[in-house]
Amino acid sequence: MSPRLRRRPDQWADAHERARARAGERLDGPLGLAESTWLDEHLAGCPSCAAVAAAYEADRQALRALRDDQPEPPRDLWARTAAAIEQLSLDSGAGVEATSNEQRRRLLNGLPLGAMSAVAVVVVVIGATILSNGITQRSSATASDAAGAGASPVVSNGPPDVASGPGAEPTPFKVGAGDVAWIDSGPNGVAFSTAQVTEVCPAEGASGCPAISDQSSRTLALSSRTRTIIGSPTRKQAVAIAEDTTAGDRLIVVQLPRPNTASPSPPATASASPSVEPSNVASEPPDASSLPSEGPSPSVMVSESASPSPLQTPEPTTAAELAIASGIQVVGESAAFSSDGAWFAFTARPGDGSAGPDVWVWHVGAPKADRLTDDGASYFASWSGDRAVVSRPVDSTATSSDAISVLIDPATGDTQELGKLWRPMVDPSGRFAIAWEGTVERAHDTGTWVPGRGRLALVAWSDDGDTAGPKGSDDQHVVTDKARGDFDVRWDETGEWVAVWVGDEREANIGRLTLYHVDTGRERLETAKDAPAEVPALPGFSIGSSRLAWATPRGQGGEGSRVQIAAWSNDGVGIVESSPGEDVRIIR
Amino acid sequence: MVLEPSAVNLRDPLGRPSVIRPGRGHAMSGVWDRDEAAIFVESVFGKHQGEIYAYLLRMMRDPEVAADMTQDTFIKAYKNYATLEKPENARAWLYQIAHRVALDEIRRRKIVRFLPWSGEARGSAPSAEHLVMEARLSGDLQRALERIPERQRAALLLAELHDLTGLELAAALGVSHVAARALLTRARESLRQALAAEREADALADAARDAARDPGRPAEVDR
Repeated sequence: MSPRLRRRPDQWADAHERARARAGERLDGPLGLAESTWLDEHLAGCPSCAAVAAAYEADRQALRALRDDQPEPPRDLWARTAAAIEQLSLDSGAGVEATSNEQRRRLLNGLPLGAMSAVAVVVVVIGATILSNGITQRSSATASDAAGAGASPVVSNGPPDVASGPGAEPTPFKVGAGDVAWIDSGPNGVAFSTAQVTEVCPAEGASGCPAISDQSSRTLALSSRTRTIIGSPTRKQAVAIAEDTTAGDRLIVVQLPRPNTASPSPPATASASPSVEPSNVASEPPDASSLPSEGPSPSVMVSESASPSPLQTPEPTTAAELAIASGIQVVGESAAFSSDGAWFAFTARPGDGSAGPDVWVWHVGAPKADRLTDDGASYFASWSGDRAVVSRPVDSTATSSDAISVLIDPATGDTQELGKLWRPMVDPSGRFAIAWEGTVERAHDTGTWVPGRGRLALVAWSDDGDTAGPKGSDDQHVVTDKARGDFDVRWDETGEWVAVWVGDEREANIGRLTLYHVDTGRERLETAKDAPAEVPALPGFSIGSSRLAWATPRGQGGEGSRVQIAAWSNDGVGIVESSPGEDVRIIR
Repeated sequence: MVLEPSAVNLRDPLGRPSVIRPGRGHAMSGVWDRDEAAIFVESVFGKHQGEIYAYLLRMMRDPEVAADMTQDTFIKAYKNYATLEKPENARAWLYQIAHRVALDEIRRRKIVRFLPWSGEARGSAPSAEHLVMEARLSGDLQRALERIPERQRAALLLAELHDLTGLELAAALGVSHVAARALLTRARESLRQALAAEREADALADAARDAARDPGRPAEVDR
């Protein structure tokens, strides 16, 4: 028996399997004498095993022949690497600004909070070029500067001209951003819309920019008012958090219609709302009843009277609603699918408020969601790979406490401690997180916990709990030191763009949203010119595929909420918006 | 006294537990000497960039991606210099970093593929270099390599093409010695089966082509 592999002979299914394994092992080192002798004897009497052994040897020779093709690395590889290292080294020198790359410095700026609106910076170019291909390119009908039907909009060759005066014509520029989907609940049902984002305008000229063009608009079979809707990574289904009138929240799985890109009828315009009748749903947000359809529609709205019905033929989804949880109160905004779409996690407490929040998980396809924690003081933060990051106060009996985070495998319940962070939102590459560093406090009237003293900041992430602060000075990675309301952080798929929503302390349904670029080399947050910075936003936004979509709160004058999309490309960051809707919820 | 890794700002290259623990000498001093790290990286770059690039190219099959990842590997080596215990382990340690960079990218691509709005991050048209690469590597073998799980592919490449043996291989793969050997054994079997499948497919394609070329002649089997 070989001393190297302590397998017992009875672990082999049969002598042939043993012989094949041993034949492979023998290529990597000598077997014990007894095993070697046994193998030779077996091979001598077993042609098929001998053939396998010969194949292993032949394959090895074929592999080794590949050595002759030694590829040459690019010649500038050292120059690139050395420059990056020099940059790192300069960056880490006591927070002193690096000076070796003047152009980059001009383009990007690590900004202290609060100064972001005052400093002009130009967007960084990200590596991903993502095109919504296969979708018919619509000629953009601009309302204000009708430069001829069907004419292509001018594509700016450089960054949008920031120096142009306020009266300058907006210059839409093309972006290859992904589609955005949202629902709009009205008295006649829930309309599901998707929009293709092909061009956007610099922020200064956004009011003259064409509105979002809907790809399709269908009704969605949702019986209750939906507060939040989270799409799965496949975009085939979504979990809707709906408010039952009496019994708290229900989590409903709905199948999403496929965007009908091959529709023969002209795509609808941005009027996604199926009806404009005043809503009489009791739980509508404030001012819900004051939205007449003929209300002030922005001049920028694409008016395509040729397609009188903005809706496709209504096709309610046939799939029955699947309620995976009910009689609960969903807490916070962190609910999310894992990146592989296999799990969905959220934080909830009993509908009657009799206990504090716990983390729940739904294994996609299962009939019900299950509670993952039972301490009554646990919050779902985000997914790190296929494990849930869960945060809780160290002392849940106190009114103020340090926080601790753990990683929990939803399949096995295995738990691993991470360190003193509250709700770290981990980026998809697992390198960074944005987390609350500081204490948490018990909210007076409820059994919930909110950030206390501390700050919401970028941290270098590690699954083994080593979450060092990144390099550079604080103002390069701190988002805010006040987050008494809720906060929500979502990363795009590159891990280079992150959007942070910080809820208002008093008004739970409104917050401010900021888009950051993360300089992964220098480990800091940056803002780009024209990117949304502290813009008013409803909870629930969607980031990815070179765009960020959110919904604005209803205006003072009763104007409905709109879908806003910021998209970025080599030409910069631009904005496009929809016409007002009734009760718009972005599908996250 | 045990210094916490965070005290010297050490981070595992990809945020996972490392089999190479913080180096005693560097960590105990509590100082991450940047100059020393830069000099070290320059020297190992000169010695090992070719093989690291070759490994990453063989794993990813895209010269541009491999170059970016090679750069990334050496930047991580610089950042994590203090985790290198002994300079003589530098080569295996670099392979370990490169291996994780590769697996991370592969994992990321798998994740990205699920997103409906994703396109390929890089141009879809194959570059001239890429085509040369395709032609150079034996078709069957390369396709078979692509079909086997990436960890097995890595084990085979590192053992057969990059001469990592025993503990070096284990360190680069981030597993125990026994596990590395078992992985390699599984990889040989996977490759054998994948190659057999490739060859079978080739044979069928050849037969079909021959039949098409000479339609008057009945198939060989009939004779």
